Parts: sequence; C-alpha cells; structure tokens
Amino acid sequence: MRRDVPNSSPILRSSEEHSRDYVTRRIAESGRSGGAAARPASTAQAPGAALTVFAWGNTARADDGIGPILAERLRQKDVPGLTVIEDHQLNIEHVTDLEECEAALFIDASIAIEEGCRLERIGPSNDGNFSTHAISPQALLNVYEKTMKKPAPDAWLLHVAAREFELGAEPGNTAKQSIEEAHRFLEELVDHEPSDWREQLVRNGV
Amino acid sequence: MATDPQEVTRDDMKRIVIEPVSRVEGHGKVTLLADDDNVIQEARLHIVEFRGFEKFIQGRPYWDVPVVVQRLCGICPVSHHLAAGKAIDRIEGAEHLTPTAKKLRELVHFGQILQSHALHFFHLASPDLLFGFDADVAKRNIFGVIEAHPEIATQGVMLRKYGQEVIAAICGKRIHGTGAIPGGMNKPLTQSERDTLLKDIDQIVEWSLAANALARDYYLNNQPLAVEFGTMTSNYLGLVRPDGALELYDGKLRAKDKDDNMIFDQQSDQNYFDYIREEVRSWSYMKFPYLTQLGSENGWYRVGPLARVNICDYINTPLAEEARQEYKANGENGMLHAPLAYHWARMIELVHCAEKIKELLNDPEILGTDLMTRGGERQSTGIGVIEATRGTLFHHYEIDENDLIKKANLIVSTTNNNQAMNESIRRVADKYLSGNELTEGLLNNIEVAIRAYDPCLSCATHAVGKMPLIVELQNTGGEVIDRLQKDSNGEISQESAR
Repeated sequence: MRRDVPNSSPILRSSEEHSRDYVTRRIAESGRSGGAAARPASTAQAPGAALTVFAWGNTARADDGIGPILAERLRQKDVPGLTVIEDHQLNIEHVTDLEECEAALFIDASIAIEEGCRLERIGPSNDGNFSTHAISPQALLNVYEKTMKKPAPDAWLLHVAAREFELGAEPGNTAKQSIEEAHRFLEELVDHEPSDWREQLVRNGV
Repeated sequence: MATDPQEVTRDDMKRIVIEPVSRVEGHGKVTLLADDDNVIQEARLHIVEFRGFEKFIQGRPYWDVPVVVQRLCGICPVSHHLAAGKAIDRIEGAEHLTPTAKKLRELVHFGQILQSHALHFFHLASPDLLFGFDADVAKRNIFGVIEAHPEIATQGVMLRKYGQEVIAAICGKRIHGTGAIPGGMNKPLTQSERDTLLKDIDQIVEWSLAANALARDYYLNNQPLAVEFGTMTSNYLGLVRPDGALELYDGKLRAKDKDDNMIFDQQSDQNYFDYIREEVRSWSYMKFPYLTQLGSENGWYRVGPLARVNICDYINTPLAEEARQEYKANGENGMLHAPLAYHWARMIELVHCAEKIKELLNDPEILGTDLMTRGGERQSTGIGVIEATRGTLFHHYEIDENDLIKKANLIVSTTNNNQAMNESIRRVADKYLSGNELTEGLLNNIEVAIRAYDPCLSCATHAVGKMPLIVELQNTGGEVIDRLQKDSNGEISQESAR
C-alpha cells in the first residue's frame, strides 16, 4: 500500500479568498448576463428582487408538492419585484440564489402544524444534520453567512400543513385546505407594494 | 460472501433497531440481529422510498415517461430521465441518435454526475473525512467544514452549481426539464450557453483535481482504517465501452469478481435479465439483485464509482486516467474493496466528468441542430440502461396497443447495492458493538458506512433536515433493553431498562 503521499492536498492549500472572490464574481456576472447559467427556466428571475420565494417539493408525492403548487400560482401572477425559485429539494447551491434578494420567503409542506399555514421568522442555525442530501432553510441561511461572509437576508418560513406523501397521489384534504389558506396569505402579501412586503411579513410572522 | 440472512436463526438473537424518524414513514431504518454472544449476524437496511415506482409509471403513454420518472428522485432526476429516454428510443425504433443529440445527452449526464458527486463528497462525506467519525457532531457537519476549510465548502457549492447550470442549459431548467425526447433532443445548445459554460470549465477541472487529491490522501493516509472499515470483497457490475473504457451513458455490461477475473463482458444491456435476477425478501421493500450464473448466495455485487473504476480497463480522459492508475496501484489485483474507497473512486469520476464536459463544449458538433432521428418500426418493449451517479440504472418498459405502459421494471442503483450495504453495516456493527450496549460511536460508524455508498435515502421527498436516529436494542422476546436517540441537532438521549 502506498503511504508516501503529501499530508495536505492542493485543495487544502488553495486560497480561501480565491474561492470566495470567484463566487462573488460569478454571481455578479450571472445577474448581468441573463444566460442559462444566470436564469434557469424554473426561476422567474428579478435581479435585486424585493422578495425571493423558495418553494420545493415533489408534486408526484401528494402533499409534498405544496411548495411547487403555490410557486406556480405566484409565477402566474408575474409580480414585479418578486422572484420565485422552485426545486425538487432545497439544496446547498441555493445559497447563490440568496445573494440577490433583500428578503427570503421559504414555502414548505409541513407536518409541524395540524392545519392551515403558519408564518415563522427564521434565521441562520446549525441544523447540521447531514444524513440527507437536502438542507433546511435555516441551514441554508447559515451556509450563506459563512461562505459569503455577510449577514443573510431577513427570512421567513411559511409552514403549510401536509399529511400524505404517497407516490402518485393527489394532495389530500388537509393539504387542499392549507394550500388555499396559504394562497390567500400570499395574494394579500403581494397585493401590497414591494416596499411594504417586509413589513407585512414582520407583522404576520411568529 | 455475506451470510445469507434467510439462514440466520432468529430465535437466538436480540434485535437492535436504528430508525430515522422523518415525515416520510420509514424513511430508512437499520435492524441489527445479534446472537447471545453479541456477535452481529445480520444487518437489515430498510429503505421504503422505492415503493410504487412501477405502479406510478403503468398506464401512462410511453412518450410521457422520460418526464414523469424525473419525479421519482430529487437527487438524480436526470439519470432517470436519460434511462427512460433510452428505453423510449427503442420503442420508437430510434436508438441510433444523431451525433449532436448523443453528445447533448452525454453532456447533461456528465453535468448531473458532476453535481451529484460534488454534493455528496463536500456536503455529506467531507465532514467524516476531515474531522473523524467520532468528532463532535456539532463540528462534524457542513458548518464545521466551512469554519475549518472554507475553501473546500465554497468549491463544493460552486461545483454543484456548475453541474446544475449544465443541466439547465440543455434541459431548459434545473429540474424536470424535457431535454431527451423519443429519438433525440428537443433543443440545441446555443453558442451563448456554450460560451457561458466554457468560461468556468478550467476552474471546475482544477477544483475536481483538488477534490480527488483530498479523497486520495484521506484513503492513503488513514490506513489501515480506510482499508478495513466495513470492508468485504464482492463482485462488481457496470457498463464499459467496446474497448473496455469507463462508460457512463451507453455501453455493454461487464461483471468481474473480487480478484479481477471476468464473469462476463460485452453483454448487451437489452438482455440484462439473462444476467441479473432479483430476489425478494419478506422484510424489505427493496429487492436483492444477483448475477444469475453465480446464484443468490454468491452472486450479489456492487455498482457505482467503486465498481466502475474497478472493472474498467482505462478512462478516456488523461487526468482521470492518471488518477485511476494511482488508484489501481493501491488495490489487491488492482481492485479496491473498501466502502471508504468509494469516495476516492467518486472523485476520480468527478475529474472525468469535468474533463468530458470540457471536451464536449469544445466539440463543434455540440452546437449542431440536427437533433432528431427518424423512427423505425415501433417496438413493444424498451430497455434503457445507464450508469447513474450511484451505479447501474435499469429501466424496462412494455407497452400495449394503445401506447400505454402496461409493465415497468426499474432496478435503481441503490437497489443494486442492497446486499453490499447490509454487509458493510453488519461488519461495522460487529466490530464496534461493545457488549450489548448501544453507543454514539456505533451509531456514527454505521452512518459513515451507509454514507460511503451514497444511497438514495432522500430521493423521493425532501426531509426538511429533521431526521433523528433512534437505536433500539431488543431481546429475543421483543423487550426493549436499550434505546439511543440522536436528534437532528446532534443531541443524544438514552433510555435503558437495565
């Protein structure tokens, strides 16, 4: 067995500044270019958005698709100043999507509440579980602060009640009701001027 | 070879249950069966995520399948998309794609594997490797990596992001795109998109090399642990090119035994059922595939990066090939068997994917617009086999006279590794179980062993990061005599009946 290898790899010797500068440059470029790298089709992009909505889940798994369903409704409203990002799972690369936003609203199916929806003010935390490929909103905010070396944007998590997750099933009755309640909340929110969105979130969040 | 669990006398055993509790029922669970001498006789990793895949597909029009199967997995939707696409090509009699269409499919496939390998290595595996398996859980996570090695964490994020950008450029969006359609691709790559991706590719290659060096150094500098941890010998299965080179998109089936002897080679993936069978066991939703000619007891095998790098004759990109030769020089008969060697093999493939992306982006044909092959005689059966991130992925469909899927059979990568994961867990548990007391160290070690295989535990839904682990030790009468719980914040609680 070979043992005569260097004690540290090139990656460990590489410059932290180099990596961070690269990230900053790429984000700035992608915001300008509008190319595929900057604007995946699943993203209704608005550089410098007053609010970025992250919604994720699997519409083939019953209530798990609550986030994408609400994301689609928001996209159809085509609200200036609002960016909607939809994905199958919230993941670590979404840290780069936080860069351009003034405030972030995460929408997720939740078994933490019995019915309806609940808006929670959230911040960065060491939700360090790494047995799953996905990441929590709080952990994403934490990764953002640590990699970008600046405070994460103000953020809220909209819990939307969910119960059923069978493959191939439609959302159940609990989810159908909670989706409508969440939709009403979101409609009221974006009916305000973008400059008022943050205040509305502060007022409604717990 | 592993002890056949069916032969274990359960009356003489205690049961130790490790149960992740998530919002998805039975998100994953490990049951350890120990005899009266506290020797672990059997490990059972329960994964229920794959329930209902075939039923979900049945009854749908065949042309719809490449899109809908992406919803089976949130981690590797592109792999399912392409495997299904290859199967539907066959149904249309259009398996011979135009050069541009084939290269676009390869490009998106390399992008998918690049981002998935990067996510696993940097986000999930690197905390174990950088801090040690028993390090404080408050540190042994992605935040600990960011604090101690910020450049590694940042590069992991950007490698993942780059792979997603490749996917978005070709499929139209990061998720659930429609790049592959029967007989070809539905949109060309524009010059602007190509140039955007080219701008960063040298940086991506450089970071991939650094990641490979990190994985290699870990393996070589941490012996004998890295060589022995959860290690057993096995057979290996994967696709290779006609000349024996590593092949990820479209190749022939090859299987080798633990000593590098060929079991079979250059077999058509269209006849996979002649070489692979699946065994059903009452306690698991996942089947247990095995090589037909060796039987269920001796024919189980491993797939994925470790298998692919073990069985191929060479890699057709220079930097990855150089890395492969170094890897092979450290094996027995050129074969590495350790679960922790998966990380090294995975990073060799990361390098290969980065090199192939660069090669394809610089190929003028990638900007071509001849994307569709004229279909031939319609077939009633379509089989598509691909080397997905975690290993060989089989999609097999039969359609009826109304063009609807009447039968579907999927063997996903994690299922191929089913017996191997159980065996690695058993070996780790047997080594680290102290008496009949459950410890945090044992729990950590089992997690590390499972993680090496990168199974699709979170493939179908997202878990919001809440995934406590519960460990229960039961006696033969079913009485719980010890219980260990690890919450998502890493706090450990224990209840003992002793």
